Amino acid sequence: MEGIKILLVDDEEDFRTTLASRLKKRKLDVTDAGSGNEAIELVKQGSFDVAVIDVKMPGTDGVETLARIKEISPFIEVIMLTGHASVESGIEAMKLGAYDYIMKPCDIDELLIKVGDAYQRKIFQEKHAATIKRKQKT
Amino acid sequence: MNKKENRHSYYARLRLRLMAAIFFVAFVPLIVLGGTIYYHYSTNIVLLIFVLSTLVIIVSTILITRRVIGNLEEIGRERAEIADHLVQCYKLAAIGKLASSIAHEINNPLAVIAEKAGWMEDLLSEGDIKNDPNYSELFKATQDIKKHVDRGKKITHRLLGFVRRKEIEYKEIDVNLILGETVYFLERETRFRNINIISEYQAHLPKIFSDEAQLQQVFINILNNAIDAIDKNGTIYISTTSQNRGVLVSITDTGPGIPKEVSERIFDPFYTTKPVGKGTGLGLSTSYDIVKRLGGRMTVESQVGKGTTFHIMLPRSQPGGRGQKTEDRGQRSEVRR
Repeated sequence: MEGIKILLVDDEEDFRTTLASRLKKRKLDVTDAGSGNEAIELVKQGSFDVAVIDVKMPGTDGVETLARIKEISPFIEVIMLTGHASVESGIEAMKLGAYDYIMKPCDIDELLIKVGDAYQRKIFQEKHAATIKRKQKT
Repeated sequence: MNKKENRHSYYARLRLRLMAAIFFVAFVPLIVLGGTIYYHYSTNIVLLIFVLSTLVIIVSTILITRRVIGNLEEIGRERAEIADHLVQCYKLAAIGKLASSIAHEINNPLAVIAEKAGWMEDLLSEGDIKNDPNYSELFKATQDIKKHVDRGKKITHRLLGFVRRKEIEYKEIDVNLILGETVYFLERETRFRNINIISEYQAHLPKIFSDEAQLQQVFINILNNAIDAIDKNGTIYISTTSQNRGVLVSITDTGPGIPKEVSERIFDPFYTTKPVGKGTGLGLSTSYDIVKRLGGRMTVESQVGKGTTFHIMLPRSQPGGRGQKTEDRGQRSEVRR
């Protein structure tokens, strides 16, 4: 789990900063963003393994942020946080390529398990893509 | 109650009026005709025929009115039932909307509280604080906050589940089988409370098209309520019967019964008679909503001191027949036959 690069996106500052501190305490490399646009800029600049994104945000909402991030950097795995009656939007997000969704208030252990699984998939996908590339070259 | 009495006396009055009308319409020509005939040939036979036909008129008037009023009364009762049902649907829809927006707003602060408590717990596990005399108190406080956030979360998530329109997954199901499974789930609880479950399932019950998981939720809700009603020592009867249009499931408990004023509101969201923190008042309204969406009807019948029966009528095929996958169609017509 150590060193997984996480991007945490939520407009609720108290929630975001506290969750970030807790994840950092568990040795994860966390960057947090208060809006969808901020998150998109961060993805353009740096590389992340897993993004945790709130579905309901003012401005660019979670689902749109997910789509933009996936465009920029397709290997980032995304976990959606749904704080409201939006299991549908969670499922909608999974159709758009999110790895999973988790309902707020969330248990930190549950989130960590999902982050770990998402990271595993990211590593696998990257390896898989590299193999395909190599095969295409030869 | 009052409404029912009113309705009853209305039909009684209508019956009298109709009887009088028919009687006069038939009797007046008879008097005229009979009078004329008697005027010309005044014999006893004519008088006898006159009396006999009067009797025939009276009897047939009574029979006809009884039949007509009976039909009318039935129609009126059906209409009243449909109106009650509609009111219930509107209530559910309106309260559902309100509930989801409240759940929204509460969930976010709950999430913050949970994170803050978690963070405090994390910090408490560090170094020197552990030796502080107040450590155990502080640690317990964070645990309590988490516990109660969980309690709040359960309510908001149930609210959202109540509002969420889960897509119905229709398939061919055996109601007896689902009931058997559900009873099996609850067996430990009933044994512990010395509650006897007597199942009278109709053999060869026709299969119906419905949603297994959602029906199971309905049965669990009703059985849980029955267990709560009985508390200890009692019997729950479960029966299934095949009906014209589907399957009727009846679940009866030997609990204290439900007074009239409670049974009128029993399917209302948030209506609960359980102590604070025990029930959300959503179990039965969710069940009502599910049964309604599956095209069925749920009714309650109760006698104080004797017990309560829930009747769940489930249609044989899905309402409207829309959204059915093509491969299922053949099966469905088979079931209908």
